[in-house]
Amino acid sequence: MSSGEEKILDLGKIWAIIWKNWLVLKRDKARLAPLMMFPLIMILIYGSTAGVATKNLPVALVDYDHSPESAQLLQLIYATQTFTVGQVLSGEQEGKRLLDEGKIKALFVIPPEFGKKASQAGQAVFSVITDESDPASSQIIKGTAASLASRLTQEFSAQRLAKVQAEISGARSALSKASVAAQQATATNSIGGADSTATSESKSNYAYRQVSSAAASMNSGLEGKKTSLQNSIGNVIEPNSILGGYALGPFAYVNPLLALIDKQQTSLASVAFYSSLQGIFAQMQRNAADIYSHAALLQSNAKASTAQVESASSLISSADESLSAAQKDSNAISSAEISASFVSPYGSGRRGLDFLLPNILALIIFQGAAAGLGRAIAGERSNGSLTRVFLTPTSNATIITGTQLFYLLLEAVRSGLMILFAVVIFGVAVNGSVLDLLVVLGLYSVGATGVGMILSVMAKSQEQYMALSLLVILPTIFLSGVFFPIQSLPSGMQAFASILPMAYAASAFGAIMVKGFGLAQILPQLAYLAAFGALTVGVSLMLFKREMA
Amino acid sequence: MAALAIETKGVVRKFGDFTAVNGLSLKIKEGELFGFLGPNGAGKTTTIRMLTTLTPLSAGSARVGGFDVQEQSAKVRAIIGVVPQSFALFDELTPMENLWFIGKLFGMEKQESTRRGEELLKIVGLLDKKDVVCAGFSGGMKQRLSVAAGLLHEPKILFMDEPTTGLDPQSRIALRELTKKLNARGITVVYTTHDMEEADKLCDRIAVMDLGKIIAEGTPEELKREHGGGNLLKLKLDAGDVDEKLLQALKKLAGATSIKSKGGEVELHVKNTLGGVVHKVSSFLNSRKVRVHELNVSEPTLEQVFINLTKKDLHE
Repeated sequence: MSSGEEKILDLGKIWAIIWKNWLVLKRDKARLAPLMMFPLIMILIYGSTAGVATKNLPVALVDYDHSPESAQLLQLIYATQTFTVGQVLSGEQEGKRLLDEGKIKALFVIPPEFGKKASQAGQAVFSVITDESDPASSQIIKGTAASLASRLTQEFSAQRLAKVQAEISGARSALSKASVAAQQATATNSIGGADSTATSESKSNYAYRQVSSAAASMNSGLEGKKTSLQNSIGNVIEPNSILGGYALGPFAYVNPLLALIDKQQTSLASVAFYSSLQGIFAQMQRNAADIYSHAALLQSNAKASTAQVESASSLISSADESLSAAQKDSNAISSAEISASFVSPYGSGRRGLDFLLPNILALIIFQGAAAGLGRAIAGERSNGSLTRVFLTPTSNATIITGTQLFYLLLEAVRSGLMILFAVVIFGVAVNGSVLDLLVVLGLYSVGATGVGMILSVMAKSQEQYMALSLLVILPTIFLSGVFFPIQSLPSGMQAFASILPMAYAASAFGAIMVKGFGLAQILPQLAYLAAFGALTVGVSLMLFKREMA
Repeated sequence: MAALAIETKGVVRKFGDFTAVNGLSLKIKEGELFGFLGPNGAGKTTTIRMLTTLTPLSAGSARVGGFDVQEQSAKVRAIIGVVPQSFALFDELTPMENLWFIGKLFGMEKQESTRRGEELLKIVGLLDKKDVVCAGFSGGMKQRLSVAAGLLHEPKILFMDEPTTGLDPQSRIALRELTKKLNARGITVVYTTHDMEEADKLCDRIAVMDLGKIIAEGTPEELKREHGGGNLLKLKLDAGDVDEKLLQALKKLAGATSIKSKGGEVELHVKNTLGGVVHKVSSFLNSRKVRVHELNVSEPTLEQVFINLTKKDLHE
């Protein structure tokens, strides 16, 4: 375009195009109403369906076992919100019929002896018959059933462990009784002299020595007396020999002799007495030695018995120790059920929607923009009004910019409404700055409306536009990460999803709304969104043909 | 001689394998009311689009108002006004809002476009509707607004692409009158139509187009004279008076190229009505005591011209 009148970008004309588009939209109520309703409806639909677990799948049960274990399984099935147990049946046949008729999505069958096998062998199987013609439901049912099975396994193991623990603690209490008995035995021993062995030994020893030395000194005393008595007699006169030999002696002589004899007799009697006393002492000494040796025996017996009690005690305490270790271990086992601890650095108590909302926002804005620009170029081309614009000295850049700016503003208003709805209806909190959010919104909308502009520029009519935009919109549902995690897509699709601005917008929205980040923390996303926006504007300008075919 | 408003040389426009316009060369003088006449698909609209810079040329060259349509398209757009086949305005806007918008794209301030817009709306008879949303307008009203929009920036040349198509007879007449009025003000008008009668009544000069080519060009009279195949003389006589002898005599007398009869109705094709043919025929019949109930001379039509040129009916 070589005219001086035609500026590349004419702000006055851009404004005129925005004003015209606004009037057209404002007066076209049939278009305006759905456009403005779109954010509300989409947030309602996506907000209440995204991330929601499947619930209330109808199932039926057959229990052939009727054991406590099977009851436990049934209880688990009842407790799961995924299932609604419609009927408890008496046989499989009926269940299969219900499955055929589509009245239930799955049939749980608990075989006979389920409980017995579970408690004895620790292995048991129940079967789940699913309706594979509904793959989504059957997939969920299988997953849930598997998790029920593992929960049941846990419960059974926990029960068995509890039993072992009870046995251990029984053993421990028996042991502690044994330990008390052993202690009593030790005490008794000590009372019996075995306690302070050294003292008792020294006592019996001392007594023996006292007795011995007393006996010895008495013996020696007695011996001395006896000897002196015998010495004092001189030649012991046998009275009979005296009488025989000295019968005719002088009488005078005889009397003192007689007196002496008496004296001698007395001494002799004393000697005999001392001798017998000596014998008694010897006996006493022997007895004391006996006592001593008995005492020593007793003492050594007591020692041995104390040692035995002690070793029994130490055995008991070591048994107790290992039991208590066993108990600890079993406690550890019973609490070894693997559970994840949930760390929520971006706020706790939030619902799934709060985290999904950034993705939902990114998705809806993209869909809205990609679906909403049919009228922009394609529609005006087919109704001829673009012809009129082409007939004026207005550059392509001005036409594209003016038109896209209008839709950008429209999209910003709609997205703003959507966030407002999300806040009002679902109580979603925006942790970061609203202004930052608007910046991301604006930047993202350039790319999103840019895609719409490219489609609108390519299409020759609104019908063509619709067909083209469906091609873009439908895949975005799957690539948005709202319903399916992007990571579980095939790698090719993942790569495609990573090119789409949705992922970057979602991450930027999430950073601001959930994490409370500022713009400085999401520069890479902003840069990508800006680059994508610029790219789409460039492409739509390139594809824009100023001609009416 | 007036300057040329439009001059084309060997203009070709192809759409894929299809050649819509095939070697178009013509000259339109300033102030002319020039008509492109031809059936649908003859290449009229494509020609207008090329001349109004909406469609590039595949070959050849064209100048409008002295500017090359391809090299100086913005300048061309500044001096031309277009009334497209379709409404090409915004139903949701009022006539005035539409004119403000178009005016703005032409770089006009609102004040200026309001003044000029009201003047034009008065001319096209829509001033009382200037603030009414267009959605409820009739086809004729929309076309008149379209004309006003086309004239808003005071173009020198106005292109009108089948502007009367789909209008009721009254609206057609009103639009034709308007076109003549504008032309009388000195605006060169390029007008396309497939309506022979309209072209005949309206245009100073006509180019007859078929299959992307101009097959004849001239004033309506020239075209009819050269390609119209003469006049048709229709007689209604008593059936009993008509016999082969009479017919041969009439043919010889009138110098007719052909004669045919059905009952009492006789049709003679004559080259022209010069030389008192009508008088001769009527005297001859009178002398033979043949009673003439009706005598009718019809002029050749452009339709006849077209049929003669293309050997096919325009409405086929």
